[in-house]
Amino acid sequence: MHNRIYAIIRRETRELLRDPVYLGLAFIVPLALMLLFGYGLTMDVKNIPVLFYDMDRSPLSREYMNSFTNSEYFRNVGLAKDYKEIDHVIRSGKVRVVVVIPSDFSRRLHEGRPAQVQFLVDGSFPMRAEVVKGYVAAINAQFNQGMVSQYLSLKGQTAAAVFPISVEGRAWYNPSLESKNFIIPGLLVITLMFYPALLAALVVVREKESGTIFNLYCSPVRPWEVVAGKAIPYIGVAFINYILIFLMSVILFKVRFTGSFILLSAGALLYIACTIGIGLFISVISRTQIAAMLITFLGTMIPAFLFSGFMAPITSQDITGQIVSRFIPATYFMGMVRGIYLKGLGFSYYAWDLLTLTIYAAVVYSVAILSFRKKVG
Amino acid sequence: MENIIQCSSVTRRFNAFVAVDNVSLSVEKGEVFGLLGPNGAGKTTLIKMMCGLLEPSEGNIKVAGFDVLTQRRHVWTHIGYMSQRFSLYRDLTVMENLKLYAGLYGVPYPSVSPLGKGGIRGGIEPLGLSGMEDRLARDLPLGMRQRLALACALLHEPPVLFLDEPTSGVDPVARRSFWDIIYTLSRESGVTIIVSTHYMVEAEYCDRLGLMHQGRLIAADIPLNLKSTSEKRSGSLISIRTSDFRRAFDLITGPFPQALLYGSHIHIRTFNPESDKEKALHFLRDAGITDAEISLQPLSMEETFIDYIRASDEIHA
Amino acid sequence: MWGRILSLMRKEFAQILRDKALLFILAWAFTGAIYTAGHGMSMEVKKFPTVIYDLSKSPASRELINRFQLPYFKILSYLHREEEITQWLDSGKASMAIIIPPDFQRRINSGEQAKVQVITDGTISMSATIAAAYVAQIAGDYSMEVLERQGRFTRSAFENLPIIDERLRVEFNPNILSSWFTSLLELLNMFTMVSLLLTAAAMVREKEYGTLEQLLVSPARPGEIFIAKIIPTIVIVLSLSLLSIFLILKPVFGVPIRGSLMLFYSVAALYVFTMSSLGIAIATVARNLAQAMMIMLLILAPMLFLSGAWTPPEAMSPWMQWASLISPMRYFIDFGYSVLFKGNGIAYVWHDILGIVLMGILLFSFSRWWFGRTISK
Repeated sequence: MHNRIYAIIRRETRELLRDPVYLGLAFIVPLALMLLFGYGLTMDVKNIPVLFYDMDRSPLSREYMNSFTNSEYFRNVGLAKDYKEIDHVIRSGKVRVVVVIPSDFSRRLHEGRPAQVQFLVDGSFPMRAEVVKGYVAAINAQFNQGMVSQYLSLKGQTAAAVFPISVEGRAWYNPSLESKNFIIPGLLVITLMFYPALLAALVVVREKESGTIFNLYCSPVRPWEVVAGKAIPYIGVAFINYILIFLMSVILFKVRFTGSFILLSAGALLYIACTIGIGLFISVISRTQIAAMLITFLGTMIPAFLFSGFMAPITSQDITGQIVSRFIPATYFMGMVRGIYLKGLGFSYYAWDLLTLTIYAAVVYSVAILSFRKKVG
Repeated sequence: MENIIQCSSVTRRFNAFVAVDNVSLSVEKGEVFGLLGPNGAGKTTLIKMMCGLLEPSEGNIKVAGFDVLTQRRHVWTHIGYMSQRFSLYRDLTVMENLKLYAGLYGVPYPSVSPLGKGGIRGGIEPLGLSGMEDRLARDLPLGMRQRLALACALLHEPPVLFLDEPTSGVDPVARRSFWDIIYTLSRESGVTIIVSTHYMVEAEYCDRLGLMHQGRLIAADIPLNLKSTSEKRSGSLISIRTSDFRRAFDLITGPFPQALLYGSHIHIRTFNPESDKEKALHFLRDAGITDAEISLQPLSMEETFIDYIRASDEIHA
Repeated sequence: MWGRILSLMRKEFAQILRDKALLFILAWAFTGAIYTAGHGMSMEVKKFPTVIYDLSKSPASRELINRFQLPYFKILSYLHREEEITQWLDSGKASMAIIIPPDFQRRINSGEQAKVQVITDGTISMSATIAAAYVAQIAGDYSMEVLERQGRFTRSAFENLPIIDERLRVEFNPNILSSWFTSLLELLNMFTMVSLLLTAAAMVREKEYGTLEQLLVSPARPGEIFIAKIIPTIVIVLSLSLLSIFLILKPVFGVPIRGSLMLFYSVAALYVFTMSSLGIAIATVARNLAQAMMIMLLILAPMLFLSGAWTPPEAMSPWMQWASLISPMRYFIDFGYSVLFKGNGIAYVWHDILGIVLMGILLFSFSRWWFGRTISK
């Protein structure tokens, strides 16, 4: 039995080594992706292009505009001349928010009365629109506080009276809220979701198409030995890549790592076993390479991104999303990775996740093995 | 008769490996020219170069008067090609494959084909494909698949046909009928056919043979001449049959070091067939092998070929 | 020439239509996958898992806590000890903890400012930011009510304060529905992925099986072979996308299709041409499908996730922004949202169309050139 598995492992490894271009790609691609995403993907909403339509043109309106552009959140694109320009600019997408300051802005404020300011936000990208709303509210609140305390102090009252409740916020684990601390560990999970699956996706179906699968059918080797034997070399390749990606994250991207590398690696090994298993399963059930390729691309890339809790918490998703996320291993590994990197938590916290990953792997491989029916013709 | 194919000092290298080494040959119009040689001898590479699919590293080739390097497209309209590996669409039916190639070659229906009138239909019946039109190519038995490939190669009635090991894996009966078709094409339609094979039996069917070994063309002549040259070089062939051939072979290589084992027969090439027959018989009887039968055999193509290889190896050693 | 292209196209269609599994996957890609993405993925902050540590336990604190309700917040537990905060946040079961100090009621009654602490899980920085902003808003609204009740200020009094009266309107997506955004994005993703994968795989398959060789020996020219692969992809993708729009986007999600479908489809056809050409370029370079898949992963992942849909282009580093100029998808996303969502006409998107067409011509020419260089070697 051990000989048979060893033979399959050896054969698969030899096949891998015989295609050095592929092997090279298998190592370079995930690293290149990490580089591209690590430097390119950011969730920090900054430099939002904003256009002002200042019909007041007073020192106060300028001060108000500055309160936006002085922050790193907004970038001043210019001043509009008329309403047509505003419409054009929002439609073209060059600007995300337009601030319309009425002509009686400073007059009303000096009189101690509220001044209406219109904000037009581009809602095509809801996530950004939400954040823009939040920033606008925050900047306005700050400006208001300043104006009101100035006004009240002239009248002899304290600002505290106006706002009985103040909220003090603190973010744990990632005090600077640098999105890279949040993104890079997430990228580790996502990359190790679709990349190993793609590695393994053609492994069996390729033999079906070329006919060499009949060699396997006719030999005494058992289905579980075939599946395990084919999985192991690829798990090895993917695991090496995991280590490289990890090194990249802490050395190149300087992400905070406060936890245990051993624990992370144990989780990574199980996780990779799961994702390779998924690829193998797809390979076993597909009749053509094209079908296997499409299923793997469509079934792993985007779901990993959307449903694993990478971009947005799972709790905020609809029921469909929650169901789907239960079915991807990335979900279980994501919390672990972020926790180990940023919270420095230990085994006791993640025993359950590790167990889930183990069960997941067991299920995937069992299904793959059971589906590997020896068919002739 | 003019030469329809002319290869001059053709060489092809793949990095350091020389697949075809300085081959010069010519094929006459209407000939059935066979390329014989073991796997890896360079037959496929040479054929691909003649078809314009591969560029020679050195030398030049002219097919039907066109240079394969500079006038490739003209060459392609004048040749039909059947590759070693089935290169039609397995997931299309027989008819769909034929229609595709008819469309590509611009063969209108109906048209005259070398096998009879009627365009595609004309191609189907003589080749025995009738009734299979709607079968997927992958569901065809191997012999049928080869005929389909041949039919597609013949749609545009090319004057030259290249067949790369067309009968490998096909059963002997199907092989015979395939060669019948080849002969019909050659004799009745004047098609020049270059066939590569490693079946020695088929070598006998060719008008002329080119023997290839390790990229070199070690001989090119009609089969009869090849055999007589071999006889002149290495003598006649005596064949020994005995039940305990393994032991007999170990023993006989003493006095006859040039002996070779063929399955259960021992072959010895000798210039003195009669006396060596006696000698071998006595030697074996002395060693305890009494049921040996020794006879003089006509030279087979296989033996001839082995002999040529041996001679070539000696020269190049 | 067209006769040959027609023959080749007929063959392509015969092959594709015969592969039932493939058709099913393609149909799913344009229907089920879009449905799942639109329904599942939400970037709004909903059911944000929160725990409350109420040290005041007063009517005022209870009133405030009542404001943190579904759909935005989901209160998981009322804590009794401070250590529990760490436990809940560490384990990731809660993403936010609200701490109300013991002197809350007293301070409110006496007109001083009461401080409320909010601790968020910074590992999910984007959502944490938005959630904190909601908390601030809720606290602010509550403050107003307190003031009114205490008679210190009335609403009308606010008319006598110099504050910004914020009138914010979100264009194109007034309710900031992310289902509109994600479902449309998924459709555009599918355009990209399917065009690329289908054509590349079809082309590589001819190489791997040796059928390409047989085609070459015929009068068929490489350019004709390419076009015969591209046009069926265009037909299939465009037809399936009709299903997406009329079966899923409009009826299920109510996505407003404001622009001209004619314009959209014309340019979509060009885009599929471009992506297919990219597929052919990759197929020309790769030796087998496995290699092609790795290359496609390397190209597809950045294209999909750095297209400007997830990451605002203004937040990307400058060299990334330059690099995106060669990504046809960046133009298509811009075009897609501009025309379908905002209802813009050609005037706004001609530069996108130009980008797509230029890239298409470039890729097709490269394929033709590289193919010519490699076939006879």
